[in-house]
Amino acid sequence: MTRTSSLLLILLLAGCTTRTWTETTETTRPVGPTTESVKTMPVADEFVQLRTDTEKDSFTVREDFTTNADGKLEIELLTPALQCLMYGHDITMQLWSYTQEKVIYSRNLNEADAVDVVREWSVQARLGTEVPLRGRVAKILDELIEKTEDKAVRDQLDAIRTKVRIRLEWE
Amino acid sequence: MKSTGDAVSRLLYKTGLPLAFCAALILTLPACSGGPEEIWQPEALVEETPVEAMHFNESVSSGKLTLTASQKVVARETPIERLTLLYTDSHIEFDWESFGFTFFAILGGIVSVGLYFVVAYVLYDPNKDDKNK
Repeated sequence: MTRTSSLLLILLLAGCTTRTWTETTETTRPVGPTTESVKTMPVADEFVQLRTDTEKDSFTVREDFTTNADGKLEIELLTPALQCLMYGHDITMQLWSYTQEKVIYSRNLNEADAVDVVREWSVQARLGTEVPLRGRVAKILDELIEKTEDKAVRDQLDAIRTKVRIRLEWE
Repeated sequence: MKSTGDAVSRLLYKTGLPLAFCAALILTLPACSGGPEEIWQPEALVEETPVEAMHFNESVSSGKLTLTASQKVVARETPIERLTLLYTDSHIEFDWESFGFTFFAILGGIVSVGLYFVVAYVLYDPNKDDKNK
Protein backbone atom coordinates (compact mmCIF):
# COMPACT_ATOMS: atom_id res chain seq x y z
CA MET A 1 0.00 0.00 0.00
CA THR A 2 2.87 2.38 0.72
CA ARG A 3 4.19 1.79 -2.81
CA THR A 4 0.76 2.46 -4.38
CA SER A 5 0.30 5.60 -2.29
CA SER A 6 3.76 6.87 -3.34
CA LEU A 7 2.96 6.24 -7.01
CA LEU A 8 -0.37 8.04 -6.65
CA LEU A 9 1.34 10.99 -4.96
CA ILE A 10 3.97 11.20 -7.71
CA LEU A 11 1.31 11.05 -10.43
CA LEU A 12 -0.63 13.86 -8.80
CA LEU A 13 2.41 16.00 -8.22
CA ALA A 14 4.18 15.40 -11.52
CA GLY A 15 1.63 17.07 -13.80
CA CYS A 16 1.27 16.49 -17.51
CA THR A 17 2.45 18.26 -20.66
CA THR A 18 0.21 18.85 -23.68
CA ARG A 19 1.54 19.33 -27.20
CA THR A 20 -0.71 20.47 -30.05
CA TRP A 21 0.08 20.62 -33.75
CA THR A 22 -1.84 20.85 -37.02
CA GLU A 23 -1.32 19.02 -40.28
CA THR A 24 -2.66 20.44 -43.54
CA THR A 25 -3.99 17.80 -45.91
CA GLU A 26 -4.60 17.77 -49.65
CA THR A 27 -8.31 17.07 -49.10
CA THR A 28 -10.52 19.99 -50.15
CA ARG A 29 -14.21 20.57 -50.82
CA PRO A 30 -15.83 23.38 -52.85
CA VAL A 31 -18.14 25.61 -50.85
CA GLY A 32 -19.32 28.03 -53.53
CA PRO A 33 -19.54 28.66 -57.25
CA THR A 34 -16.49 29.52 -59.37
CA THR A 35 -16.29 33.18 -60.38
CA GLU A 36 -14.36 34.39 -63.42
CA SER A 37 -12.91 37.86 -63.83
CA VAL A 38 -10.38 39.65 -66.04
CA LYS A 39 -7.70 41.48 -64.07
CA THR A 40 -4.47 43.31 -64.76
CA MET A 41 -1.92 41.76 -62.44
CA PRO A 42 1.70 42.75 -61.75
CA VAL A 43 4.19 40.20 -63.06
CA ALA A 44 6.30 39.27 -60.04
CA ASP A 45 9.56 37.27 -60.02
CA GLU A 46 10.11 37.57 -63.75
CA PHE A 47 13.80 36.79 -64.37
CA VAL A 48 15.15 38.97 -67.18
CA GLN A 49 18.49 40.03 -68.65
CA LEU A 50 19.27 43.53 -69.91
CA ARG A 51 21.19 43.37 -73.17
CA THR A 52 22.66 46.15 -75.28
CA ASP A 53 24.27 46.10 -78.74
CA THR A 54 27.58 44.28 -78.98
CA GLU A 55 30.42 46.57 -80.10
CA LYS A 56 33.31 45.66 -82.41
CA ASP A 57 35.63 45.29 -79.40
CA SER A 58 33.02 42.87 -77.87
CA PHE A 59 31.78 45.40 -75.29
CA THR A 60 28.15 44.87 -74.35
CA VAL A 61 25.95 45.14 -71.28
CA ARG A 62 24.56 41.95 -69.72
CA GLU A 63 22.79 42.46 -66.38
CA ASP A 64 20.27 40.17 -64.70
CA PHE A 65 17.16 41.52 -62.98
CA THR A 66 14.11 40.10 -61.25
CA THR A 67 10.82 41.95 -60.95
CA ASN A 68 9.62 42.48 -57.39
CA ALA A 69 6.16 41.66 -55.98
CA ASP A 70 4.74 44.80 -57.64
CA GLY A 71 6.29 43.83 -60.99
CA LYS A 72 8.88 46.63 -60.74
CA LEU A 73 12.53 46.65 -61.76
CA GLU A 74 14.99 49.52 -61.83
CA ILE A 75 17.71 49.82 -64.47
CA GLU A 76 20.62 52.24 -64.14
CA LEU A 77 21.04 53.97 -67.48
CA LEU A 78 24.59 55.23 -66.93
CA THR A 79 26.36 52.25 -68.53
CA PRO A 80 24.22 52.28 -71.73
CA ALA A 81 24.63 56.08 -71.83
CA LEU A 82 28.44 55.79 -71.60
CA GLN A 83 28.34 53.10 -74.30
CA CYS A 84 26.29 55.44 -76.50
CA LEU A 85 28.71 58.38 -76.05
CA MET A 86 31.83 56.22 -76.39
CA TYR A 87 30.85 54.35 -79.56
CA GLY A 88 28.88 57.22 -81.09
CA HIS A 89 25.61 55.53 -82.03
CA ASP A 90 22.13 54.89 -80.62
CA ILE A 91 21.95 51.99 -78.22
CA THR A 92 19.12 49.47 -78.22
CA MET A 93 18.37 48.13 -74.76
CA GLN A 94 16.49 44.85 -74.68
CA LEU A 95 15.04 42.77 -71.87
CA TRP A 96 15.43 39.06 -72.51
CA SER A 97 13.02 36.86 -70.52
CA TYR A 98 14.56 33.64 -69.24
CA THR A 99 11.12 32.06 -68.76
CA GLN A 100 9.68 33.00 -72.16
CA GLU A 101 13.07 32.81 -73.94
CA LYS A 102 12.41 35.90 -76.02
CA VAL A 103 12.85 39.68 -75.95
CA ILE A 104 9.93 41.16 -74.02
CA TYR A 105 10.91 44.83 -73.98
CA SER A 106 13.01 47.11 -76.13
CA ARG A 107 14.00 50.78 -75.89
CA ASN A 108 16.37 53.05 -77.77
CA LEU A 109 18.80 55.43 -76.15
CA ASN A 110 20.12 58.22 -78.37
CA GLU A 111 22.92 60.74 -77.78
CA ALA A 112 20.60 63.42 -76.34
CA ASP A 113 19.18 60.88 -73.85
CA ALA A 114 22.73 59.78 -72.97
CA VAL A 115 23.82 63.37 -72.24
CA ASP A 116 20.73 63.81 -70.01
CA VAL A 117 21.57 60.61 -68.12
CA VAL A 118 25.19 61.72 -67.60
CA ARG A 119 24.01 65.12 -66.33
CA GLU A 120 21.59 63.52 -63.85
CA TRP A 121 24.25 61.09 -62.59
CA SER A 122 26.77 63.93 -62.21
CA VAL A 123 24.29 65.84 -60.05
CA GLN A 124 23.85 62.74 -57.88
CA ALA A 125 27.64 62.29 -57.70
CA ARG A 126 28.17 65.90 -56.65
CA LEU A 127 25.62 65.32 -53.89
CA GLY A 128 27.79 62.43 -52.67
CA THR A 129 26.08 59.41 -54.21
CA GLU A 130 28.38 56.50 -55.01
CA VAL A 131 28.46 55.41 -58.67
CA PRO A 132 28.87 51.64 -58.95
CA LEU A 133 30.43 50.61 -62.28
CA ARG A 134 32.05 47.48 -63.67
CA GLY A 135 35.83 47.70 -64.24
CA ARG A 136 35.43 47.73 -68.01
CA VAL A 137 32.84 50.53 -67.85
CA ALA A 138 35.10 52.58 -65.55
CA LYS A 139 37.83 52.32 -68.24
CA ILE A 140 35.34 53.53 -70.85
CA LEU A 141 34.52 56.45 -68.56
CA ASP A 142 38.25 57.34 -68.34
CA GLU A 143 38.64 57.14 -72.12
CA LEU A 144 35.51 59.24 -72.58
CA ILE A 145 36.84 61.97 -70.25
CA GLU A 146 39.99 62.23 -72.43
CA LYS A 147 38.05 62.04 -75.69
CA THR A 148 35.12 64.40 -74.99
CA GLU A 149 35.53 67.90 -76.33
CA ASP A 150 32.37 69.40 -74.80
CA LYS A 151 33.63 70.95 -71.54
CA ALA A 152 30.29 70.76 -69.72
CA VAL A 153 29.93 67.04 -70.45
CA ARG A 154 33.60 66.42 -69.54
CA ASP A 155 33.09 68.15 -66.16
CA GLN A 156 30.04 66.02 -65.54
CA LEU A 157 31.99 62.86 -66.42
CA ASP A 158 34.78 64.02 -64.09
CA ALA A 159 32.27 64.50 -61.25
CA ILE A 160 31.01 60.96 -61.84
CA ARG A 161 34.61 59.60 -61.96
CA THR A 162 35.35 60.88 -58.45
CA LYS A 163 32.50 58.84 -57.02
CA VAL A 164 33.03 55.61 -58.95
CA ARG A 165 33.08 52.37 -56.99
CA ILE A 166 34.15 49.30 -58.91
CA ARG A 167 31.41 46.68 -58.77
CA LEU A 168 32.58 43.20 -57.89
CA GLU A 169 31.91 40.26 -60.18
CA TRP A 170 29.07 38.86 -58.04
CA GLU A 171 27.30 42.21 -57.59
CA MET B 1 -20.79 -4.75 15.36
CA LYS B 2 -17.09 -4.23 15.63
CA SER B 3 -16.34 -6.88 13.03
CA THR B 4 -18.87 -5.34 10.57
CA GLY B 5 -17.31 -1.88 11.06
CA ASP B 6 -13.85 -3.28 10.47
CA ALA B 7 -15.03 -5.03 7.30
CA VAL B 8 -16.59 -1.84 5.92
CA SER B 9 -13.48 0.15 6.83
CA ARG B 10 -11.26 -2.41 5.08
CA LEU B 11 -13.56 -2.44 2.02
CA LEU B 12 -13.45 1.35 1.78
CA TYR B 13 -9.67 1.35 2.14
CA LYS B 14 -9.25 -1.36 -0.49
CA THR B 15 -11.57 0.18 -3.07
CA GLY B 16 -10.90 3.86 -2.33
CA LEU B 17 -7.20 3.73 -3.06
CA PRO B 18 -7.49 2.10 -6.53
CA LEU B 19 -10.30 4.55 -7.36
CA ALA B 20 -8.09 7.48 -6.32
CA PHE B 21 -5.32 5.98 -8.46
CA CYS B 22 -7.68 5.88 -11.47
CA ALA B 23 -8.74 9.48 -10.79
CA ALA B 24 -5.10 10.55 -10.76
CA LEU B 25 -4.52 8.80 -14.08
CA ILE B 26 -7.55 10.51 -15.62
CA LEU B 27 -6.40 13.88 -14.30
CA THR B 28 -2.80 13.54 -15.49
CA LEU B 29 -3.52 11.99 -18.90
CA PRO B 30 -6.53 13.96 -20.11
CA ALA B 31 -6.03 13.66 -23.86
CA CYS B 32 -4.24 10.41 -24.48
CA SER B 33 -7.25 8.83 -26.08
CA GLY B 34 -9.06 9.92 -29.24
CA GLY B 35 -7.88 10.65 -32.78
CA PRO B 36 -7.05 13.99 -34.41
CA GLU B 37 -9.70 16.68 -34.60
CA GLU B 38 -10.85 17.54 -38.13
CA ILE B 39 -11.04 21.26 -39.00
CA TRP B 40 -12.20 22.63 -42.36
CA GLN B 41 -10.40 25.89 -43.08
CA PRO B 42 -11.71 28.26 -45.78
CA GLU B 43 -9.41 29.34 -48.61
CA ALA B 44 -9.69 30.44 -52.22
CA LEU B 45 -8.46 28.39 -55.14
CA VAL B 46 -7.25 30.90 -57.75
CA GLU B 47 -6.28 29.94 -61.26
CA GLU B 48 -4.81 32.69 -63.46
CA THR B 49 -4.47 32.38 -67.23
CA PRO B 50 -2.66 35.17 -69.12
CA VAL B 51 -4.70 36.50 -72.03
CA GLU B 52 -2.31 39.16 -73.28
CA ALA B 53 1.44 39.65 -73.58
CA MET B 54 3.33 41.32 -70.75
CA HIS B 55 3.09 45.12 -70.76
CA PHE B 56 5.67 47.54 -69.34
CA ASN B 57 4.97 50.98 -67.88
CA GLU B 58 8.16 53.01 -68.02
CA SER B 59 9.40 56.08 -66.22
CA VAL B 60 12.85 57.69 -66.28
CA SER B 61 14.18 59.77 -63.41
CA SER B 62 17.62 60.45 -61.91
CA GLY B 63 19.30 58.48 -64.69
CA LYS B 64 17.35 55.35 -63.86
CA LEU B 65 14.70 53.57 -65.87
CA THR B 66 11.88 52.11 -63.80
CA LEU B 67 9.79 49.45 -65.50
CA THR B 68 6.57 48.03 -64.10
CA ALA B 69 5.53 44.74 -65.67
CA SER B 70 1.85 43.87 -65.74
CA GLN B 71 -0.29 41.40 -67.61
CA LYS B 72 -3.99 40.93 -68.25
CA VAL B 73 -5.15 37.58 -66.84
CA VAL B 74 -8.39 35.67 -66.50
CA ALA B 75 -8.73 34.76 -62.82
CA ARG B 76 -10.96 31.81 -61.91
CA GLU B 77 -11.66 31.86 -58.18
CA THR B 78 -13.36 29.01 -56.34
CA PRO B 79 -14.03 29.24 -52.59
CA ILE B 80 -13.02 25.94 -50.99
CA GLU B 81 -12.40 24.45 -47.57
CA ARG B 82 -9.25 22.49 -46.79
CA LEU B 83 -9.15 19.67 -44.26
CA THR B 84 -6.70 20.35 -41.43
CA LEU B 85 -6.01 17.79 -38.74
CA LEU B 86 -5.45 19.04 -35.20
CA TYR B 87 -3.39 16.63 -33.08
CA THR B 88 -3.11 16.84 -29.30
CA ASP B 89 -0.65 14.70 -27.39
CA SER B 90 -0.43 14.64 -23.58
CA HIS B 91 2.12 12.85 -21.47
CA ILE B 92 3.47 12.90 -17.95
CA GLU B 93 6.61 14.91 -17.65
CA PHE B 94 8.28 14.60 -14.29
CA ASP B 95 10.74 17.24 -13.22
CA TRP B 96 11.63 18.49 -9.78
CA GLU B 97 10.56 22.03 -10.60
CA SER B 98 6.94 21.13 -11.39
CA PHE B 99 6.93 18.58 -8.56
CA GLY B 100 8.06 21.24 -6.07
CA PHE B 101 5.67 23.82 -7.47
CA THR B 102 2.66 21.48 -7.15
CA PHE B 103 3.78 20.19 -3.75
CA PHE B 104 4.12 23.66 -2.26
CA ALA B 105 0.89 24.81 -3.92
CA ILE B 106 -0.98 21.97 -2.18
CA LEU B 107 0.88 22.64 1.06
CA GLY B 108 0.06 26.33 0.81
CA GLY B 109 -3.62 25.48 0.27
CA ILE B 110 -3.68 23.23 3.34
CA VAL B 111 -1.91 25.87 5.46
CA SER B 112 -4.36 28.58 4.26
CA VAL B 113 -7.40 26.50 5.15
CA GLY B 114 -5.78 25.56 8.46
CA LEU B 115 -5.04 29.19 9.25
CA TYR B 116 -8.64 30.08 8.49
CA PHE B 117 -9.90 27.58 11.04
CA VAL B 118 -7.25 28.63 13.58
CA VAL B 119 -8.32 32.28 13.22
CA ALA B 120 -12.05 31.49 13.09
CA TYR B 121 -12.29 29.04 15.94
CA VAL B 122 -9.21 29.60 18.15
CA LEU B 123 -7.98 33.19 17.94
CA TYR B 124 -11.22 35.00 17.17
CA ASP B 125 -13.41 35.56 20.17
CA PRO B 126 -16.99 36.41 19.16
CA ASN B 127 -17.75 37.78 22.62
CA LYS B 128 -14.89 40.30 22.44
CA ASP B 129 -16.98 42.94 20.67
CA ASP B 130 -19.80 42.45 23.15
CA LYS B 131 -17.36 43.00 26.03
CA ASN B 132 -16.25 46.35 24.54
CA LYS B 133 -19.86 47.43 24.44
